[in-house]
Amino acid sequence: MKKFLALLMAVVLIIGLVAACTATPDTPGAGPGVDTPAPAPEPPPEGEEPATITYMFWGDEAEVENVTNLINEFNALHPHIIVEPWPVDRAEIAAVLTTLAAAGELPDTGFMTEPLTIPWAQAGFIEAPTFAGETPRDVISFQWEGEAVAYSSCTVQLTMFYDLDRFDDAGVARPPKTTADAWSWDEFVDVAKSLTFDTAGRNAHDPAFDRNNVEMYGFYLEPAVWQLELWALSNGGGFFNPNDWSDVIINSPESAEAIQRIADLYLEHGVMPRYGTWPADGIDTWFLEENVAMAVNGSWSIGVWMSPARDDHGLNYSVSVLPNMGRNVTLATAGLVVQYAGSAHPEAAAEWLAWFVEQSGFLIEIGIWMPRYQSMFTDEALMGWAQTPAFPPFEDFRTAVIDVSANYAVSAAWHWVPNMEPFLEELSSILAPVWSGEQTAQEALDAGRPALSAIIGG
Amino acid sequence: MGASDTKMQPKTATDTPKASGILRPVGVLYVLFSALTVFIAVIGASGAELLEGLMPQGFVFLNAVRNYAMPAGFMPHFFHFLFLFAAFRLAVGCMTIRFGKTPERGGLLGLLGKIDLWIVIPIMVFSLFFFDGFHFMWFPILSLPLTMLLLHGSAKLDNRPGRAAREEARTAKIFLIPAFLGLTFMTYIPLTAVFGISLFDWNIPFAPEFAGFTNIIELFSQGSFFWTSVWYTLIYSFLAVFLGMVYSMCVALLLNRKIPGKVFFRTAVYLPFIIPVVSSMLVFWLIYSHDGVINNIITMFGGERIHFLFESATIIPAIAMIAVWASGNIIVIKIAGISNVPRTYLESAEIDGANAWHRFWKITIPCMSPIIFYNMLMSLITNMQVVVPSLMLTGGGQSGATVTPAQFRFVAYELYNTAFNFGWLGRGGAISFMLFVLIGILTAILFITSKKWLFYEGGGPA
Repeated sequence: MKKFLALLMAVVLIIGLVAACTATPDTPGAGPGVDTPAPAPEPPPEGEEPATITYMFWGDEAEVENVTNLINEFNALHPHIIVEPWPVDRAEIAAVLTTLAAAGELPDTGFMTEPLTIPWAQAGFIEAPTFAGETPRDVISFQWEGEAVAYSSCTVQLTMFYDLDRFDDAGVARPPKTTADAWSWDEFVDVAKSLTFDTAGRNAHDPAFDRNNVEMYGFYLEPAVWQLELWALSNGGGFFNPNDWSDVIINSPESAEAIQRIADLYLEHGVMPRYGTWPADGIDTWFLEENVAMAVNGSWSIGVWMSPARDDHGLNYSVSVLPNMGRNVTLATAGLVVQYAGSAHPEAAAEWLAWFVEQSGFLIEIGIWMPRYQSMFTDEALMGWAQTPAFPPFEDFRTAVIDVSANYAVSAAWHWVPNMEPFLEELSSILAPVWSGEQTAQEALDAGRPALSAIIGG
Repeated sequence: MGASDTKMQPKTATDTPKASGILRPVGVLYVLFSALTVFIAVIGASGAELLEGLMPQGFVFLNAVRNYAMPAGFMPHFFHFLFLFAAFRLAVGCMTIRFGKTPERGGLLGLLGKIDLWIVIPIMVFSLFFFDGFHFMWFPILSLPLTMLLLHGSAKLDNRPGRAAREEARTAKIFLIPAFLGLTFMTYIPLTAVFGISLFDWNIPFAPEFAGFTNIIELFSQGSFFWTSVWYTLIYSFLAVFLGMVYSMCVALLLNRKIPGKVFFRTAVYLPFIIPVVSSMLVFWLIYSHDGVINNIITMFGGERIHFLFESATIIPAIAMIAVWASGNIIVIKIAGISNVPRTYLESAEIDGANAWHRFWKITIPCMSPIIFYNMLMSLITNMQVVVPSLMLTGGGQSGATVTPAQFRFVAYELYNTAFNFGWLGRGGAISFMLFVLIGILTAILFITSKKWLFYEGGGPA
């Protein structure tokens, strides 16, 4: 009898094991981590089955809540469609998408990262965008073989932020608002030196300045390797030949010089914390703790960090034009929402996305996004979006961000070059000895170019 | 065994009717199940729309095989095979009904049960991977209990000499099935699949193409980062294993003395091991940072700050120190090992005039060599697969998000990045396979050399 019981247990064990293996794929809402269930929609009018589609996105807790609320709203308004939220970790998005693509189980709609967009569009995994009204501006398009295969959800661009009080305290003139007055690189370094102080209160011009004990740096640059393209472009170089993306020109004298100048901000002038040693997120903290006077960061920082810091802690900040190494330029890039190919309900997916993009205007309202349409950057009458309380003073923002965006914004390389993910990873390693001063940018990039070329070419 | 046989013999006779009580219905079920199998096979072999719907989605590698490598006409053959399986089951069913009361045929029925098991398991594997959404899993699930009942009943019926041992063996086999299935799906199949994937030129989002050994050969080519990453991983593993061994030995020796608060200290050195790796990484990130404890001490004495995680010379030792710090498990095993060194050896050596160093080097170490060997092996295998520091300290695998010095790019990190962030699955498979081979080689070297220095008090394993 004992043995029979044991046998029975074994059978139950096996069935349990197998059942555990079988439970996943067809379960609706297989999206992990969905904790807010959508409210039950009204029954569809003709007794049809509602089309169930998934929406994958990343974001912090508040963003997840926002998006889930939007989805619930949509579901309530559209009984024939059920959208299921599928939040994922931002750092894992590439891995998640890759795995799902390999398994043939992509979501119907969702966020897409910039570096993956071109190759995925190339392989036909992304539905081509269609627009009923105005087509979004060119600078946020993803171009492949002369065609726009996708558009960013918004415009965001690299922008210079500064703390007015730090300038006033140091008795330094405030940064220029227009490109006509933009600082040359040497002028910028000079100002940054005047704003860098050691613990004894000496600024970086002082021969006795102690670089090991700096109280406040003049400048902070987020250690995101893709942003280095901005400085390479500003100096007349770039990452890639604009006429042929497979031609890597990152070791051209102009590009190398620009990158060397960034390294020298730390190595030679001591006006910036060493590239990479400060964590990438949260420039508001550096400003609030009076650790920096100026920082270059994406314009999304307005809504994410700077304006909340202004409203909650009285940070007195504004925006200015970027220093100019020879060419007026800024780098524009933003993630996007796409309809993945192979959805069982393409019409429902398209309907949801159109509605969602329309609704996400609140992200502009709170200063995280800027609009997608060129007219809203050129037509004064349409600039109301930038005059909400979330944005910095309009007279600064108008010339330092909107005009620059309209006239000088360039798409980041992943808008037209495939394989940017491994390229940046490799570039990051190649440049590491430059930041530590073991190699010059020219040496490192000359040595590293074949590997970079191989990645882009392959 | 002979004694137990004679004891068992009379009992068998009384068991037989009971056993047949199971076997008869089992035989009937076998017949019914074979009819069901024929039905499925007929639908499967003729119904084209069923075939379309039964294609796999869930498994990466076999998905590719199905799409690109499996011959188009393979699926019908599976259903032809099901016909054969039905015929076999019909025969088994008839024989079970016929011989269900004949103890002499217990062995034969047991053999049939075994053969049946070895058919059902492959069907299970096949249907798990080759049918979309596991739609076909109910078939082997239904079929497996029958097999088990047959094995069980035949073992009860069987009255040949050695019955008890065979019955025990069969019961053991039945109990091993879940473990075996688990290992098959979680270990053996993925392991083989990784090698399979490495044979494809497969860059997500593009379709895979068969490429033979190109991926593996490319790892050996000039300009490939693979060997650099292997080199960094080897340096790291050597430092982590060697320093870990020395550190744990020192701490274990100290904690083996009669010191006050021994229990407290034992707990204290063990704690780092149970702290989640992510938290300890964060703590070390702070310790090593620009404004961290170490740099503050350095600047206090007027030195230059060292960027431990950014200077090529300090990165690997800095990360290795984290592993050494967390080697509490090794310390505990070492403490147990030291207290197991026979007193008699140590005392007689002392009487012979050996000093403390001699006693340690000539007696304690050799007596502990099996423990040292085990610890070395385990920590080598673990450290060769190091990936958490790379992911934690480089910004979570988001490429280019932060500065990633090459020294961070250990093999497992390269593997993760290549396969999942870059979507180069074929190359990722090749790296994974080579890492497996590499760890295999290192383990083999350790085993071969161990013969020279391992000392087993009890003579060692046979």
